[in-house]
Amino acid sequence: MKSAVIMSEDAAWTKPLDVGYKDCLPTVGLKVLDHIRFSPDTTDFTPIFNKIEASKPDVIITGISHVGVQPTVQWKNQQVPIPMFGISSQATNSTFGKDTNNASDGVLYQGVSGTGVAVTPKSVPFADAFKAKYGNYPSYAGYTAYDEVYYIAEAVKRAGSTDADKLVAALEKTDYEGTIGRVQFYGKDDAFTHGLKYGKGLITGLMLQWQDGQQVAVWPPEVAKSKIKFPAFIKVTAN
Amino acid sequence: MGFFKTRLFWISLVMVVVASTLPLYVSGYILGLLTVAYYFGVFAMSWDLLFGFAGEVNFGPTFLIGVGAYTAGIINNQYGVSPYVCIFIGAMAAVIAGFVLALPALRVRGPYFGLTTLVAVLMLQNFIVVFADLTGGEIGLTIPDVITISASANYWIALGFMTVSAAILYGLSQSPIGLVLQASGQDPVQAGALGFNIVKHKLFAFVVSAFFSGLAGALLVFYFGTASVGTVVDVAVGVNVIVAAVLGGRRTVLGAALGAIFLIVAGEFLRPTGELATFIVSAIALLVVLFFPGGFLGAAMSREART
Amino acid sequence: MTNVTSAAQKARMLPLQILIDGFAISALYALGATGFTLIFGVSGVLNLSHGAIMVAAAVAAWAASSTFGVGNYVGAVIGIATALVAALLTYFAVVQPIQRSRRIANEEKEIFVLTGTLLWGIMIQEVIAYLFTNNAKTVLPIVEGVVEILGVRTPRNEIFTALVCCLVIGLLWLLVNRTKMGKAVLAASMNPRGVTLLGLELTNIYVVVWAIYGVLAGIAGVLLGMFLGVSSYSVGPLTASAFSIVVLGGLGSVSGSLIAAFVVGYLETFTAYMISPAYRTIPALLLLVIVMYLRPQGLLGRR
Repeated sequence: MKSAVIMSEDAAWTKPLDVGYKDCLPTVGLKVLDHIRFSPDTTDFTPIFNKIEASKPDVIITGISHVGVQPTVQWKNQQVPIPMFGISSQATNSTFGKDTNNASDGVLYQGVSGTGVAVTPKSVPFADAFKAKYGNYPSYAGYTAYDEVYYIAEAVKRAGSTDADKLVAALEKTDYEGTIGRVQFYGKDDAFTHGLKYGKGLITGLMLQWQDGQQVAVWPPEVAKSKIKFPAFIKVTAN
Repeated sequence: MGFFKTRLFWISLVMVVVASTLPLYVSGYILGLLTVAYYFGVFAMSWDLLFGFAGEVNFGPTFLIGVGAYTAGIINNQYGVSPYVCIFIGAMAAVIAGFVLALPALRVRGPYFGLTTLVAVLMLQNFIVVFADLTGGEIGLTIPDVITISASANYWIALGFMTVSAAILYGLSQSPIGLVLQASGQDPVQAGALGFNIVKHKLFAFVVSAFFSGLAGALLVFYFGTASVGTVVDVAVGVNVIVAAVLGGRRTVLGAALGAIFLIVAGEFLRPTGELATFIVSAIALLVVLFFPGGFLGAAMSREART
Repeated sequence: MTNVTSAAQKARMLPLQILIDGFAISALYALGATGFTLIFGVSGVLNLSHGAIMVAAAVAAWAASSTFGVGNYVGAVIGIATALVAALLTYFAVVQPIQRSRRIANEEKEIFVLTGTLLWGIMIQEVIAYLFTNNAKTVLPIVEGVVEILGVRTPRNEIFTALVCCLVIGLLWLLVNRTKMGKAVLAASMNPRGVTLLGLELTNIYVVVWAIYGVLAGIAGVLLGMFLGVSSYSVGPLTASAFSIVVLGGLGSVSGSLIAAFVVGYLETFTAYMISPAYRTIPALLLLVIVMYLRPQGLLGRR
C-alpha cells in the first residue's frame, strides 16, 4: 500500500484527528492523496466514494462517529473496491453487523477492547456481565467509562478529598489495570499533558475487523484471533 | 388597570413570592433544574407573543435564541469582554435576527412562513458546524466567564428575569398594541382597513420576541458555561418551546411559562422511565392538544369564567 | 500518457455520474413528497409525522427480515403495511379529532394539526428508538450487485429504486386521472363543498387519500432503507425535506413537487461532487429562501 485518502465527518473532534492522520500516514509510507470532510448529517455517500475512487488510493482512512451504518452499507452496495480503515465508532457496537445486514464485513476499526478479547483479565468478564445485564456487548464507551469510574474513585480515596488540585495530583499517579489495559497518565510538564500513556504493557489499542458478522481482533498479535480478510469486491494492493 | 384586581394577578404574585423562598429549603439540584425551567419559560412566552398574538407560525424560536446565545458566547470566548456586555450584545444580535425573520413574515403566511423559520434554524445549525473554529462545532463553545457560581443567586436571577419578562410581555399583550396584533393576526385585511399600521405592529412584535428570546438565550449560556447546538439551536429544542406554549395555553403569555416549567419538572419526574420519558411527555402534550385545546391556563380560566 | 487519458476520462465521466446518482436520489425525494402534497391538496393538512412514518416503514422491514427472517419481499410488504397502518392511525387519532373538535376555532385548526402531528411523529420516533435503539438500520436490497452504465459503476439497487419510484408515481397519476375514485379525490382538492353537494362522503375520500399516502410513504421509506439507510434521527430531516420540496414546488401541486424534488436532488448531488460534501444541503436551503422571497407561492403553486 502506498497511498490513502482521509474521509472524516466535518466535526470538531476530527480536526485534531485529521492533523494527526496527515502527519503520521506519510511516516508509514502512505501518501495522502485527498482529504475529504463531509457534513455529519450526510445520508448519500455516493458522491464521496466516487470522489475517493477517482484519486485511486489503496486505502480509505476513516474518522467517523455520527455516521457509520450508512457509509458502510453504501460502500458495500456500490462495491467500492477500497478497504476502509481507522476510527468508526458505530462499528464498535456489537449490533453493527445486524444493522448493516453484514455489509460491515471487512470494515477495519480501532477499538479499546472487544468482545472475547482478553486485553487484560478484566476485559472478558466485564463484557460478559454487560451483555447479561443489557442484552448486547459494550461499545468502546462502555469499556472506557467502566474503567474511569474505578480509577477516579481510587484517586479520590488516595487524595482523601474531591478538591480539584488534590484530585489532579492523585490522578497523575494513577496506575490502574482496567478493561482496556494499564492506565497511566503523563505529567503536567510532558508534551501530551495529562494524556493517556500508550505503549506495550500499558494501553496499545486494538485493531478489529468485522468478519462474517462478528467482531474479530486482528492486531496486536498477542490477542489476534484471525488474519485480516476482505469481501470479494475489495481489491487489496500488496502491502 | 383591572389586572391588579383579578385573581390571576394575586395567584401569580403568591407563586412568585413562594418561588423566591425556595433556595432557603430545597437542594441545589432542584434549584438548577428550575433555573433552566425559568429561562425556558421566557423562550415560550416570547414565542407566544408572536404566535398567539401576531398569528405567526414560528417554527424557529431557536433561531432567535441561538443567535443571542452564540453571539454572547463567542464574544466572551474570543475577546473576554465582561458577561454583561456580552449578554447585551447577544440580545441586540437577536433583535437583528428578529428583523431578518420578520421580512419574509410580511410577505408570506401560514405554512410558508413556518418553513422559512425552519430553514433559518437549519442554516444557523449549518453555520455553527461549518465554522467550528469560531463556534466550537458540535462539541460546543466553552464560555470562560460566569455571572456567579452560587446556585441560589443564579436561581434568583432567573426567577427575577422571568418575572420581569412576564410582566412586560403580559402587559404588552393586554395593551392596545396586543389587541391590534391579535386583530392583524386573525384578519390582516380588516385590521388594515381600520387604519392600523400592521407592518409596524408586526415588526414590533418580532423585535420584542427576539429581544427576550436572545436575552434569555445569552443568560442561559452564561449559566451553563457552554453553548451547544443541542441546548440552544436544535429543532428539537424549538419543538419543546412550542409544546410548552401550547400546553400552558396559547394567547395567555403566562401559561407559556407554566408549560415550560411543567415540561422540565415532568422530564425530571419521568427520569426513572429512562428512554420512554420523551414519549410520555409527547403523549401528554398530544392529549392536551386534542382534549384541552386551551391548555392549562385556558382550561383553568374557562372554569373560573363559568363559576 | 495514461494519466492524461484517465484525467480526460474522469472529466467526461463526472457529468454522467452526477446525472445518474442525482436521478435516484431525486426520484426518491419525489416519491416521498408526493403523498405529503396529495394530503395537503385534498384536506389542507400538513402532516409533520411524515418522516416518522417513513422511518417506521423502513425499520419494520429491517426488523421483519433480519430478526424474524421473513425474507426481502415479505419484509418490504410488512414495511409498507406498517406505514399504511401508521398513516390511518394518524388520521383517525390525531387529524380527524382536531378537524371535528368544536373547542378549537376554525382559523386555529391548521396550527393544531401541525402541533398534533408533530407530537405524534415524536411519539412514533421514540417508540422506534426504544424498541430498536437509535442506531441506523438498513434494509437488505431486493437486487444486489452493480452494473456499468457507460463506464459508471452503478448499484443495481440504485436503478431499482429509481424505476420503482417512477413506476409508483406513474400509477398514482393513472389512479388520480383515470379512475372514478381518483376523480373524486381530485374534485375534493378543488372544491370540498362541491363534492359533498354531489353526495360523496368527504370523510371517505379523506380515508382513501390517507391510505394512498400511507402506501406511498411506506414504499418511499422501505426504498430509502435499502438505498441509504435510516435511523430514528432521520425523522426530523425527512419531514423537513418533504416539507421544503412541497413548499418549493407549490403547496398542493403534485407536478410542482416532482419538479422541486429533482431540483433539490440534483442541486445537492451537484454540490457534493463539485464543491464539497460538507456543504451538501446549503445551496438547496438558500434556493428555498430565495424562492420564498421572489415567488412565495412556490414554483407551480396557486395562491
